[in-house]
Amino acid sequence: MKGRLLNAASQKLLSYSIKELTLLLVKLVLLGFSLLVITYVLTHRISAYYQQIISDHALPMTALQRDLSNSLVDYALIQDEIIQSKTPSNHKPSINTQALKTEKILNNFHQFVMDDNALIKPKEMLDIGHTALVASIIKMDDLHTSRQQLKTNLQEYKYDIQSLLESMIISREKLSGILALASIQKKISSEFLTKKLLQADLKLGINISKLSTNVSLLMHVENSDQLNNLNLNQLTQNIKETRKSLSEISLLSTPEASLKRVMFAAKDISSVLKKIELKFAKHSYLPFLIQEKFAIDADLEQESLRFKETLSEIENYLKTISGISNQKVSTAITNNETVSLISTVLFIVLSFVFISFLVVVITAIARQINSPIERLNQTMRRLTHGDLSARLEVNESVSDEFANLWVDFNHFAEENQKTIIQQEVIFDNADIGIAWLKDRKCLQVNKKILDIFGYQDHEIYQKDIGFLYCHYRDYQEVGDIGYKTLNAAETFIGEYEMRRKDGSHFWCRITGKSIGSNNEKNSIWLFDDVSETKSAEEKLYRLANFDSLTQLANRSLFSFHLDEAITRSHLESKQFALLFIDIDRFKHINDSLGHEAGDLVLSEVSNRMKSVLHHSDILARLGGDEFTILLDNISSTSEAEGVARKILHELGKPIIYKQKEVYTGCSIGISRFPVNGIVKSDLLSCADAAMYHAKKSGRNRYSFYSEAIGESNTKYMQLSQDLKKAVKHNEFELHYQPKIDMRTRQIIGAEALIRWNKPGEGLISPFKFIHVLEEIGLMAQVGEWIITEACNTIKIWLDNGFDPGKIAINLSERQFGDNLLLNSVTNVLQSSGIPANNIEFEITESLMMRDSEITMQTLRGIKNLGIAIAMDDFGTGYSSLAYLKKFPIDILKIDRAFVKDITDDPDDEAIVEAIIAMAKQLKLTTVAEGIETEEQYQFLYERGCEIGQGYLFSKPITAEKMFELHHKKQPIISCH
Amino acid sequence: MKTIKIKKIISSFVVSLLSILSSAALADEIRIGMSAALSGLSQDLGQQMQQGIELRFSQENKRGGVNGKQLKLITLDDGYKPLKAAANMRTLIDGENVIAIIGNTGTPTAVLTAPIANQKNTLMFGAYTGADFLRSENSGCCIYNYRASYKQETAIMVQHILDSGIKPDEIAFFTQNDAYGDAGYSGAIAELKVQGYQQAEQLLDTRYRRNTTNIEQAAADVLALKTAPKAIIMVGSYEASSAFIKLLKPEHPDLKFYNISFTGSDSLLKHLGPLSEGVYMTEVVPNVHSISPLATTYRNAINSRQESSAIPNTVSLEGYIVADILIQAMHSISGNINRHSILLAVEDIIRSKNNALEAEHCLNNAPRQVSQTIWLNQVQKGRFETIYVNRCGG
Repeated sequence: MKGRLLNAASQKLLSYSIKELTLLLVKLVLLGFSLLVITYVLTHRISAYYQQIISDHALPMTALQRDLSNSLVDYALIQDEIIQSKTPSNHKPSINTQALKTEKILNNFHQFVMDDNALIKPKEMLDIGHTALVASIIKMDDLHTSRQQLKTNLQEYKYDIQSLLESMIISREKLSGILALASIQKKISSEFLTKKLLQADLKLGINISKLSTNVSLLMHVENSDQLNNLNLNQLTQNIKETRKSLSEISLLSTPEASLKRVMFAAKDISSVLKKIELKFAKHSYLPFLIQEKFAIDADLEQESLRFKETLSEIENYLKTISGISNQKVSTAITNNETVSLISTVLFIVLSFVFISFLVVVITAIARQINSPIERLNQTMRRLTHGDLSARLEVNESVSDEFANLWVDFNHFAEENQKTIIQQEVIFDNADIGIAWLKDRKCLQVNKKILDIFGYQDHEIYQKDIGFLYCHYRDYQEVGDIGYKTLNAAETFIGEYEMRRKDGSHFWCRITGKSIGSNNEKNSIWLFDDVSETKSAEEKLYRLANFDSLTQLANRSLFSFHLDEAITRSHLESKQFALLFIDIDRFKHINDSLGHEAGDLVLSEVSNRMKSVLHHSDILARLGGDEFTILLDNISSTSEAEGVARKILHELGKPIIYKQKEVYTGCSIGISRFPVNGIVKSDLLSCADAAMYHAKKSGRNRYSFYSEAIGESNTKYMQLSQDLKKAVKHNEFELHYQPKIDMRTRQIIGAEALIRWNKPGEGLISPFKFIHVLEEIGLMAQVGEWIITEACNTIKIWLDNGFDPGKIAINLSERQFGDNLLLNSVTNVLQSSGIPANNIEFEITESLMMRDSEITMQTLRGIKNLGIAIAMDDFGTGYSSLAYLKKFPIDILKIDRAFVKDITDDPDDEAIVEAIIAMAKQLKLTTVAEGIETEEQYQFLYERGCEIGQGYLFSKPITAEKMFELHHKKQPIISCH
Repeated sequence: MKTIKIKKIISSFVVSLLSILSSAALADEIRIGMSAALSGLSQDLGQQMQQGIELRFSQENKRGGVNGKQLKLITLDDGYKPLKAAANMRTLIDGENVIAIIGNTGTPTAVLTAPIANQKNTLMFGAYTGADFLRSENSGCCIYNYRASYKQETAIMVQHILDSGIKPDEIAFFTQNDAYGDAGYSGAIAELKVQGYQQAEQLLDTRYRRNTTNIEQAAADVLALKTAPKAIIMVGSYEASSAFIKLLKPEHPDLKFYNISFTGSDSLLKHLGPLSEGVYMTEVVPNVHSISPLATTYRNAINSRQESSAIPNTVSLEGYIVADILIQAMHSISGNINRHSILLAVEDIIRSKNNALEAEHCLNNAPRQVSQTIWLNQVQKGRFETIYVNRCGG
């Protein structure tokens, strides 16, 4: 029934348009919502009403009941306190406070009870109960107070009686003792009287004891029954009898003078007895007090019982009241629960109906939308699967909302079809290979790719393109790096060697670009044959980085390798060595045999070096005759040493040029990473310095860089810099060390000695800078200055009437390079106008050893000018007699080294003697240098040495001092 | 708000300052308590004991006190009544805050006061009694004595009686009807048995009521004996004992009366007058007139006190000695002097060999007692003269 109805309704709904259906939906929602709101408000109202009942009635009632219960407990506590208290104390104030407090609670109670008939009666009973309770507790308090008072009185009374009784007993004891003593001492007149007295005393004792027994019985009575059983007359009787016994004793003892003390004792007892009697009389009898106490006790007990009853009554009323009010509250709670149950059910039913309607309407809307979309989907799928002609049918069954969309869609499909056809034409005719890859497999390729690689379409389609690469590692590299680039949405460009179908290789530039999302790995790749460009590039590269003669790396490539080696060794904490090789005598070969020979030597040398190197070592030609080797990854210096030795050996062998043997060699400097430096420039300069050191040390050897080398190198550089400056600024001056005639000890000349007056440092000895001057090529210039300066000084002296004799001037080897020396000497002599015999030149043995024609000519020229020539430092070099004969020498200077030990060392003694003898034969004058002691002087003088020079006579002094010495004109004994 | 706070701070400061000052004042003295009979039939004992202690204390205080603190004796009267003595003990310890009890008088009072001292861990030293229960191993933590015991005294009496040729069955007893009397009696009985007389209990023991002079019956009992006794051992108060002697002396001029030290020699002399001639008395301190060092310093102390008219007597000498020992103990304490330390110090003095005390008192023979020595004195020409000394119980 219901199903059919729903079906009919949905049929009807289907006839509505989407717009109408939506409107219906809105109306339904509004209706349902308002219904729910109304239901909620109604139930809330009812529930609140019952809540009010609970909170207004139940809670205050409970609180008041609790207060009342507490109040009752307080009453019970007060009652307990009253009963327990030992001292009489007033509890009225606390009772009153408690009563007022309880009244107040009861009054509050009244307000809730007023409009409730069921509660009025129990409430009234509660009030009555409370009044009774207060009355009862007040009465109890009064009773207890009087009871305490009575008890105190009784206690005092008892104590008094007790002490009276005790003193009576003591007195009687005394009396009895006196009697006994008297009797034993026989102080009583007759036996009979004694007997009588003793009997009376005994009777007295018995009576006193009876009295005290009865009194203590009375005092320890515990209830009224016991009290009633006591014969109270007995007490009076006892007192009477005691008195009687006493008077009997008095009567008997009166006549006896010896019994006076008995009389006193009897009197004591009698007075105590009177006191006891009085005590009983005064308080109108002790029993009355006791009786009264018992009565109060009974009353108190009864009142306490009544109090308890009232308490339990009140509790009962309280229970009744709480029962009634609980009933009321529980009804309210039940009603409230019913209301909430009904409202919940109503909510559920309403929601169900409402949701059902919503479902029906929404289903209808969905159906109205779904069927056109399904048709659209189908058409779209056909389009995407290549059926470009797929279109949507527009007819009456299509609703208005979709009809326009259909038309637009069809138009779009039309345009799309046209565009795709155009693009395919472009794709196929492009002059660059285009491939569309997915997961590195070909989805589509154009004709150009097939042309480049020589494959057919089906041979490539859907295949992994790995087989197109020559090297599998290239394929992997593109997979790693290339696709990483693509993922970063950038274009990847690379050049790789690829393989055609016929197996031939070619260079191909591939350019990749990602399309679509990253996950799909969809990409477009361009393939371009770049073989020709590539070979042109390679040629250029070789030209830039390699030496054309030797085919070795040039300076720039080597520098690149060195950089790499530094970085690599740094990372891997390894060491390497750098060898700096300079070909010895290369310039000579080039100059003497021509460039062709030079080139041959270089090629041969490079080949020989290559032959001793590993593949991984790098040999480079830095230019000219300089080579470098990078020995990578060496573990010890001995490896580098081995290589250096092998190279020395190889290069030591002769090279054949046009059937001639050409000899060469090399000097090798070695620096190490990281010991000598960790940057390129340091390593290179260290190796260079080491090489220079090797060269200086005699060539054809290798040398490791050490700090000493570095340091001397640095110092040397500094010194040469300073010297250049010194020459420019003329910081030199000449000092003169006098030479004396050994026989007369008169000055007969001097040696001019150069001093460098360096600003800030003072005078510097020539030993320290002459060799540097020679090396940096300034010696000739300075040498010329010395000659000019010495001649000018001599001129001044001569002008002043001082003939200094022969002034010796030292000549350097370097001054003999050409004929310039002779010219300049001639010029100076002429310009200064001094006689030639005022100067002499000192030359060294090494100069003579050059055995050069130019040197010989120069010396002869000098000789011809009339200038004497002295051989300096004779004995230290070859000391060859042949040289002495060959050269035009006039004077022989014995080196200071021999003079120094002349008196100690027999060898030196023999040498000096030989030199002097030889000089005499050759008619040469001998000059001894460095004479410092009289013994040396004496020795030389005796052997016939003619001229002496040294500190014994004078140290080198300035021109002015020289002049002063001359004026003294006396033999020099010693300058010390 | 701020000013209120400041006021509060100042007032609390002042209060604390005051409390510091008062406690400093309290700390400047050492308080010692005493409960004795200052009134009643035994008042002489209490008063003289007090005088002896005060004498020694004031001597010490003049020298600067102990550790710079003055000694103060707080004395309460118990009238020789046990209940009153017990109440006094509580007042002294809890209320007066004394650190020790010294020189209490009486045996029946000690029956109640000793447990209180033990319970409150307070030293009770030099009580004027020779009862045994203060000298046993289980007397409690805090009871220490100076004097020799009643047992030792009565033993000396028995020895002296037997030595003088009197037979054991010629001895009778006159005792107070309480713990004191019992102590003396049982001591003598025990000694008699030691001497070989097994029927000692059959000897006459006539008793009198404490705090009375009802001795007539006792005298009658003695007179009623078929064979007259030759010696009577008396354990009583000076009032009762002197009354007893007065009655019996005329009847039996040769009867020897042996009194125990507690009776009080000077009071006895005073009450008996000429009748005192020949009466014996055992003492636990040297004769006040002797040249013993203790007696000499004691006499010097009395003579140097011009303001008091006290005359040397046995009881105050005992008080003087007891105070002297206590002061020695206090001087031996290195730290704070309090209830605990003073107890330990006295214990040390008695248990260890203190040479100074040793020479004078014979230590170590009994665990709770300083002196073992007993002097037997006899009245000769109106004055007690020492006729026998039993040094160190030997």
